[in-house]
Amino acid sequence: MAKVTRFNTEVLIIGGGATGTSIMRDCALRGITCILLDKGDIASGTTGRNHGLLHSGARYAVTDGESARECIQENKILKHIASHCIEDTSGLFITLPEDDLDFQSTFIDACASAGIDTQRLTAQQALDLEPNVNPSLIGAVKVPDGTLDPFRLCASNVLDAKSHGAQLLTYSMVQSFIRIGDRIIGAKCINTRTNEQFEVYAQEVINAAGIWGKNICHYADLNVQMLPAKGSLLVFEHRINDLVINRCRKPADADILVPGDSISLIGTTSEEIDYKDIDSLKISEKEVNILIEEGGKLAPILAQTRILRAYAGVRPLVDIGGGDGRNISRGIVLLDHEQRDGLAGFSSILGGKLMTSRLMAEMTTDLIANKLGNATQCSTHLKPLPGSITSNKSKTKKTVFTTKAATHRHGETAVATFDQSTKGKSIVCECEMVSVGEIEYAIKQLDVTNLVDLRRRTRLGMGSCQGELCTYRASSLFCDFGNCSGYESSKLLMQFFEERWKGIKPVLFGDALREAEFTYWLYEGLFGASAINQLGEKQQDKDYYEI
Amino acid sequence: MKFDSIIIGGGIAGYTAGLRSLEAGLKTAIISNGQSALHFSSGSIDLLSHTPTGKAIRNPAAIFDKFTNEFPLHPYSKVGKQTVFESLNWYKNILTTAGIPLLQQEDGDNHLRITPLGTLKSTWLSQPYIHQLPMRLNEHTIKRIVVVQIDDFRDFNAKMVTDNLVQIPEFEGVEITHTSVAIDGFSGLKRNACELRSIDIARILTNESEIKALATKLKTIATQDDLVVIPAITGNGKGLSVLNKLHALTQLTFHEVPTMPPSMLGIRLEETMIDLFIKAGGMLLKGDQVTHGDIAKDNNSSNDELSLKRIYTRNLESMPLTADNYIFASGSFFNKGLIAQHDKLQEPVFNLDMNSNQARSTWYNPQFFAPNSQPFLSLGIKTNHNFNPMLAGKVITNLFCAGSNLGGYDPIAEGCGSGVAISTGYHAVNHLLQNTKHNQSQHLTSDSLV
Amino acid sequence: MDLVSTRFEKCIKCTICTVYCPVAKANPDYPGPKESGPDGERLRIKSPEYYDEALKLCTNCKRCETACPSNVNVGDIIAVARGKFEKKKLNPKLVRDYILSHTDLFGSLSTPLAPLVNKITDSPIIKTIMDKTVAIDKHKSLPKYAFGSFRNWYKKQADTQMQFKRQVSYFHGCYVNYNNPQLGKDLIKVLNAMNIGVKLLKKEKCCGVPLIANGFHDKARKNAQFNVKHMTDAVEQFNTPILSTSSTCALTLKQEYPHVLNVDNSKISSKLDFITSFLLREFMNGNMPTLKPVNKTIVYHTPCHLERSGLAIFTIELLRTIPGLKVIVLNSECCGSAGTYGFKKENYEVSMKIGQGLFEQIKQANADFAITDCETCKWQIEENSDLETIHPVTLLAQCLSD
Repeated sequence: MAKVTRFNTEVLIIGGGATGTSIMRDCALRGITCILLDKGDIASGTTGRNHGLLHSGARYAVTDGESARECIQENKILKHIASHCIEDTSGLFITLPEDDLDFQSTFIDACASAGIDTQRLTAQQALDLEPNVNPSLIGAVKVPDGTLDPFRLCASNVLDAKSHGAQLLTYSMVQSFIRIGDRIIGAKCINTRTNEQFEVYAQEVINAAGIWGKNICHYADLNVQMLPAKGSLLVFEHRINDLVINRCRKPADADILVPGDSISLIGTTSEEIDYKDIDSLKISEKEVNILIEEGGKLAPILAQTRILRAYAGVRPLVDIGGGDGRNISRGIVLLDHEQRDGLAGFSSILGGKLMTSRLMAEMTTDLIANKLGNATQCSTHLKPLPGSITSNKSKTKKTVFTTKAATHRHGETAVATFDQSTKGKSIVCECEMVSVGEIEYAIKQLDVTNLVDLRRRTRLGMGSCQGELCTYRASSLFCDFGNCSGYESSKLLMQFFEERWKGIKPVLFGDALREAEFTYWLYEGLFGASAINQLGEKQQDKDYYEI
Repeated sequence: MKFDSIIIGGGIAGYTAGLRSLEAGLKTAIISNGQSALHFSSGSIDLLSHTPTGKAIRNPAAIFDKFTNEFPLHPYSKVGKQTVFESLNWYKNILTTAGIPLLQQEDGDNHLRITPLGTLKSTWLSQPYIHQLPMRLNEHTIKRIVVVQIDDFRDFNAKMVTDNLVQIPEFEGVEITHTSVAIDGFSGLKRNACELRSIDIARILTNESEIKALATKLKTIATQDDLVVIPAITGNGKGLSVLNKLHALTQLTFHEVPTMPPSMLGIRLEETMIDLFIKAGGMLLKGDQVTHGDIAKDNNSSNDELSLKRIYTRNLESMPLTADNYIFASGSFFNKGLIAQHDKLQEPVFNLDMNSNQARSTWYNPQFFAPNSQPFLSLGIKTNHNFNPMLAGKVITNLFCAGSNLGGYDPIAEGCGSGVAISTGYHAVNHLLQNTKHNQSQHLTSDSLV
Repeated sequence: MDLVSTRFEKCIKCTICTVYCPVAKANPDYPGPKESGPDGERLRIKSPEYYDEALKLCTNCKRCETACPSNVNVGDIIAVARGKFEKKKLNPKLVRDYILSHTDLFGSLSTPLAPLVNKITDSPIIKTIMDKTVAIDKHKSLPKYAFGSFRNWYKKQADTQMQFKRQVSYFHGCYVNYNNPQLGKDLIKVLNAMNIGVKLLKKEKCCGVPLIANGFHDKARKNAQFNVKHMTDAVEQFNTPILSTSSTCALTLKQEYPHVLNVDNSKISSKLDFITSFLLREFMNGNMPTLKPVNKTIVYHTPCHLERSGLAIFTIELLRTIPGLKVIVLNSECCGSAGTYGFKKENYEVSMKIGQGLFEQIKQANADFAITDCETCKWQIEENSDLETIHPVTLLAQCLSD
């Protein structure tokens, strides 16, 4: 029998989303050794599949005061510790003629009691701030919303945690737990890329698997009820708004327009789905139509703007009393299974949202540290993440665009370690200004194993052409920096296009279809990509069309 | 303004029709809305590589009758065997005479070319520096393959080509290596040399000393027994002259492989066709777009048929253009010959009938590189057996469709894009001549062009 | 964000424009229209720090737009971005750019002293001094000024022109006014032979194209507003078409005003016409003057801006109506002059390289003379091919039976 690799650690964290990676960092900063597992890449689940809104809390102020207070508190912390993941854009809550203007006062009062600053604007003031907002608006309230890049947040958490001794294992799935009596002492796992099995022994296991947390509990023979609610979003080709635009009314479909780096996105729909469907989300034509139609009410220019892709995530809502997906509290659910179910060494952190991920991690790590007898206080709210540390002398000096873009994404310190040669600075992804040096850094330092991971770390392929131009160039860099053969890098290329295709299909019309046709002509017509799948097969006479 | 024939669209179908129309002595205009998709094509002419059912084809002529019987709605079945082969020979001759020889297998077989991913694709006519691998690949005579990486050039990767080529079973025993070569002119540029595209390198390589330097380097890495696979990085406005020089200096056997866009191989074809068209007196409206046309009842027709009276363009505004016959070679989605709205397909100029009105969920396959290709590639304009399109079911008798705006075939999966473009463009002029009964039509020769 | 700057999203990244950019062709340091235009614009919306100074290398020839299969106004995007972000540094080159671009100011100063000015600017010593000080390349001759402007000459003709029942308005531009009044006179001769009188606008300023090319967008906008006002007055008062003999002025009045300068010309846009388009329509409607046969061969060069406006077809067809004239249409390529661009020392070499292909074509054609609709193309071709180059209207005037 092959020897199974064993890892020993104090804490095993399952799930590499915003919560999991925040726990990883929190543990590492407190000197607790930990290993984080994810069945895919970090931020590949719900964390990377929302609108990346840095909530001020205003959206929840009227319906859920507690969430609103958590949001504004974390909003302020994140602006401090994760400034490279954040654009402090401000947000507008606009009232359209069909909305009730009286709601504005309710809204402003609720914000005030949650501690959220607001500023009432006239329609003209709102238009001056955001020229693309629907000009028929009758009023607006400005709030401290912003944008938050979840991929960068997770990557920075991991980077900091690793520099404090933590360990990350991506593409690693839990298959079962190892128990002694009423105590979980570890997990049997498999690496899904290599199919190698391994075991992780830990004093405490934390289930931070979000919506997949129900499955993890199953392995421990525990039951939690989760209410998966799918939310779909559309990505537009370029930035059409500089401020987040919300509707000033009770939350509904497609009422948030967020500028995210070089694009804008509109979200979200909400639809309850069966738990069995959480890994095969489909975006319907109807959802796309609703998003376009409702989005156009926030910014009419959206109707003429090219749609790049659609994507969907599952809200990890925990059923604490029924109701539909949106009305259920998104409150934080921390389950100490020793207390709740008599199973020691196992806790679950469920519910919550991207905004509160750090707070959720703090609560969880407090619980675990207590169990482990570690008395170090949490410091994740005080210490800036790598990438957010800027030197005071940083002035806008003349640098090449790839360096500028990379500095936004990774911070000065990291960029200083990039290959500074001409080759290192050269552009690979022209839409998002990703350089050879940045890709090398991502492959070597940021646990990138394929082009899809690379996209999450660098924005490569997220732009107008959806990877059409850069994929060929970038895949070959996996030969240079990732020990890939030319054949393996060809497979990475194919995998990337298949992944992109998922998001293009639902919006395959207009310029998205033109771009897809161009990409297909190029990679299939000119490059013969699909033959990669049959490489090694000998020609057979039976495959031929003869008389 | 009045012409004998107006061709809408400046791609391979449009220029074929334009050149053929000029040959027939007709006053001809081409309206071209930007440059064509040849800019990212292989520069080889595909005739027919696969059936719609996915079977590979070795010799298109041999199976042609069987094919047309089995797939009667395919454009080739409407054009007919004789015209298909006549048109391709005609095309081959005019391009060859104009300095871009197009070569083929003596027995009329398809041949295989190496792609930038190191896979093989089947085609029918290729430029001289494409080494034609036999369809029965085990009959190849290659001893060694050297794949050339141009230093700092990211739009062609020799390692990917090499590592995939070695996996082809028929290449067992062939030594396949890759090696890199620097272009002297890259140093001293203010711009980052790693960001140069094929066209930029082609410009550098118009310099005699650069060509000589490259030749010297190539001679050190390969011998005359080798097949030297190089990216297509020459030919900016000068056709094949740089490669001819490289060959003369090295005596090496080259296999040019297209790169990421732009493809120099395809550009050579387009440049040559434009040059021929202008020199033969054709009127080329570059960068203009037909916005609409006036269509009315065809007075010569006893049936309920229509006729296109005049067309309007974006640049000429209220000044219409008229012709006896019009050829519609407006391209597919990329070229905006077809438009995909979120709820329907549309032909944007005349609102012609389409070959499908199914929902958009039927336009694509779940996988991008699906074994059976993408359905949207077969979408297009519905035509009668003469390639006349229809407006609400009524045939437009003096409008002929050609090339990729036609529905009912898959240019990529069937490997027939350029063949369909050439044969339908050529065929359209034949029909148009029947319509006009132009007195010079009996003097049709390709000599009048060159 | 205005509509112009958002039209870049149709760009499919096919890279075709880079193949047809004459600057990228001759100067590998220019990143090309794709990166400078649609790619760059998308990033500049995110943050202005993505503005690239290399954009000033663009000559605004618009060949990228003619080549684009997606109908993206690449050249406009670049021109607008330059107007928004280009920083002017005070140095001798700025003085030079100022002189070259303020064509009407320096024209009005020079025409009264034309013989003297021409002599000075033609002297080898002065050329060398200008080369060393303000970087006007010593190989270039500055355009010659006419002794007395076209407008001045016209004053004496105004009454005669009023006699015609049909009238057109003529936007003569700086070139006709200060450098080549003969072309204006030829136009009047041709139109009069067709029983059409010629009015001038009450006032006109430089169309603005050299200002745009040199980054003086505010001044260009002021000129545009001024011209639109006077053209609107003319249309309201007389309802005449407004003709231009310069392919570049014509494109600017019609397209650059709304697209690049954001000046609304919609009230007069349909009245603007390029001369050969107007003439050919007249000819086709039967109003054709009697022309003497010319047994000559000419090569026709399509200026970039005429190619972009799509009106070359009119000039070519017009030339083909002249009896006995053999017309050879050249495959359209940029001549490299690109207005003021080729005069600058730092661009001279690139400019020559751009034009090389065209000069070759012309030399091989063995024609009697060259025809083109653009004044700077004319200078460039004459300087580099020794072939006399004239405007189609001048040719027509010469063909009129007396």
